[in-house]
Amino acid sequence: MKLFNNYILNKLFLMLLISAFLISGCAKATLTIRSPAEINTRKIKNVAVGGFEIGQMMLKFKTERNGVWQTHPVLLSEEQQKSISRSVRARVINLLTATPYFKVIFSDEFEKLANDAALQQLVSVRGYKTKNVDAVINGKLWLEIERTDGVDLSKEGLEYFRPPRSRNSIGLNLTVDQVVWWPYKSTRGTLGLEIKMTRLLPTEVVATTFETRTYSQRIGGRNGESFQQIADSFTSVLSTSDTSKIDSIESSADVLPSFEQIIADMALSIASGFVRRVAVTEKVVSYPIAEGSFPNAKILIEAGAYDVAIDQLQQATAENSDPNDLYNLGLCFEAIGDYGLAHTTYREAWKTDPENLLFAQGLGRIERLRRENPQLQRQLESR
Amino acid sequence: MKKLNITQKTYFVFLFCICASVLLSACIRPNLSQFEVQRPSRITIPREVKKVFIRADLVDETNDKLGIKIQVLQQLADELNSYGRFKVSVVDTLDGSQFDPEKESVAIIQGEVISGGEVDRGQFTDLATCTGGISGRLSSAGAAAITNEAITLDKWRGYVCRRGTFAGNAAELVLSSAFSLAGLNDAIPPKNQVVRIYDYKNISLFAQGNFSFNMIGLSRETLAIRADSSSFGRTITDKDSYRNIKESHLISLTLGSLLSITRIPIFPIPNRQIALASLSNPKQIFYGPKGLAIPNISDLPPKEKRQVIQQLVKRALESFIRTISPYKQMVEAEVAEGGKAKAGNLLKEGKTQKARKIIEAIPTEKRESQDWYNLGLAYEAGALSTEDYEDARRFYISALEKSPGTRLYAQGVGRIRRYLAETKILARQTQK
Repeated sequence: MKLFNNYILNKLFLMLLISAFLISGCAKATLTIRSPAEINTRKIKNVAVGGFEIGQMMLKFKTERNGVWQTHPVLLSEEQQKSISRSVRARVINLLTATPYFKVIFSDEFEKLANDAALQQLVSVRGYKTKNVDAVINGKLWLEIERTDGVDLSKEGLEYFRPPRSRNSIGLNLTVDQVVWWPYKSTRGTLGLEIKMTRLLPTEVVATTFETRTYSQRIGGRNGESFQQIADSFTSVLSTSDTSKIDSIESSADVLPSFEQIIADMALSIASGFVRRVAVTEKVVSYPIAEGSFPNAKILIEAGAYDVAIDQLQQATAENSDPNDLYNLGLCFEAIGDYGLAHTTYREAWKTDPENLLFAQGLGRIERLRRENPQLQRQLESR
Repeated sequence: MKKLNITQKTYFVFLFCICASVLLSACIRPNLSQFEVQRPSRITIPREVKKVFIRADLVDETNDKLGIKIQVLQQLADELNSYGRFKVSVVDTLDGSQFDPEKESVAIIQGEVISGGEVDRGQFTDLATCTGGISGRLSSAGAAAITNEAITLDKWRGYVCRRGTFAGNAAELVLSSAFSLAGLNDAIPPKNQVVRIYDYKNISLFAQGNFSFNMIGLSRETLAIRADSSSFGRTITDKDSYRNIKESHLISLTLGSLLSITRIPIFPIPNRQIALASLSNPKQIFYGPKGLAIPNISDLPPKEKRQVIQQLVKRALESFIRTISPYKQMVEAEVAEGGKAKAGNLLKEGKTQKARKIIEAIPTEKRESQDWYNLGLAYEAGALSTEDYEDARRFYISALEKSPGTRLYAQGVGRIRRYLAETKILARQTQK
């Protein structure tokens, strides 16, 4: 028993130590890095945004009771449809203006055109009046959103338990089948968005994309029902707002979002993919910091004080070249965009300890960035 | 044995200290000082643009179902005016009397306000476990008090029913096992599951602003377009609406006597005919052909509705304002306690100048790391120029040198690095 107690205590102690080590070891440096455009848009500096044509727009409420479905379409006026189109266009502009790559020229001339055919015709005959525009981005959207008020049916086993009343009694432990109705509400939206970038001189469609996003959410129903939402990975690519947490507005996961909110989220998601293709984008990444011998380095890097960390790490590594300090120095150079020095420093750290995965990862990152860099540099120099 | 006990006690004391320190560090609110910093706008508007007119006649309100257009425009004007970069006014129209296009460049803001809201009512179903005895009542009462959970009473001995399954009722399970081990089977109360229904009401509000910022004068140019939105959502579940509609003991009572006689446990018992819980099927259809109604006074009190809409409008305008105008932002930074000057409280009260004087009165060689840090904070909080930020940075570095490894001091250095980078842009935007 004594041995058992000791064993448990030792295990607990070990677990605590491991947890403490893991907690202290999860320090990360947050860096902003630039990624080159996927397609060549080097000579395109000034971009105008044309209109977003409406392909089809359907909003409907669906109800179901006892297997009988009824659909009530919501009729949208022309003005409401135009408003949705303008909102989608504005979300694309939000993202375009967040990149350091393009200058967005706001011209009514292209926005007023009825559709893509009209734009292509205007461009082909060079009938436009707006000056200093290299390319025009326009689009077309298809939208279908439905809300459902329905009821699921399932068989549930309701349990009943009664303990034995005496040694001769076996008690009761029953499961009774019950048919239970589970009302639910759900919303489901699909947005198809075609975005096209047309160069004016020479006339050429430089990039075109057609993507769809689906959003669905369900409340109520049988417990554990899954629901899916669109991936929010786009927010990490182009963070457009640093909303303060102090003024947080009440929200609930049990409230279905409004039509407008669903449209906005889906449009933003598709637009971010398009912007990544045609523009240099910034993204925020996190890389681990090594446990070096210099106590201030880790916290300075975590706090984003790279210049001071470089000063102090350079002094520390000149006296005693601990590979962990060298790695951290490389991380600082990487953070401020000095990839040449970052590569040299990571390499130095890796040479001292070739088995260290962290150092190899640093080296690999810089090599990848340098491979991309000529393209990135060409793209940025053309600005 | 004694030695072992001492070792065990040491371990426990050690574990207790670690747990307590983790809990304390998580719970204690740091000493924070709040101060305002100015940040640059995303785009640089030409300096000659000083007057901005928000054209109410050019702001579309077709989809403004909450009727908040005037509030949005006034709030936009007020916030832009408070930052001082522009002189902003809301106008119904713009004519030659308001500015001279030959002499000055002004800007107009136009666009669209979209707003709406919904009240979504309905009925949902859940499964609950009803327990009796002291433990059942205690755990239910505790849960109800702490989690605001809905409790119902079954018709059978007034047992209390809580959401969840048998296995999920941990307190009851532990007590049952303990009673069982002690041979006190009689003390274990029976329990049963129940199907419940309840009513809910979801309230949502939505606001969106699509605005453009257009410079007019000798020529006209649109400098910015943005669309931003915000939403509010609240679920209200009426605790009084919870009703038990099928309790398993009702069925088991009928079958219980039979089973006791046969002494053969039967599992499970199909009981479809009598078990059809038709009451859990809502007859009412909650989505009508007209869609959902907008929240009214009974859904959200007028005062609260006004506050919520004000928050929504503020959030929806935030990004547009930050795109066109340098803006002020509240920043929170932790104050260092202690030091020779003990200036922490002064900083928390916002008396930065006084804190600065007191710390600077102490000779540099006698200043402790907390003094250096608080001096940096005093400079940062009252910064009027790049030099103030550079001084603050120097003081934070001194604090870090005095007390290496202090995260708080490093955070100060990092913050200043960001501000110094922004200050250059800000200077271009605000220089007269």
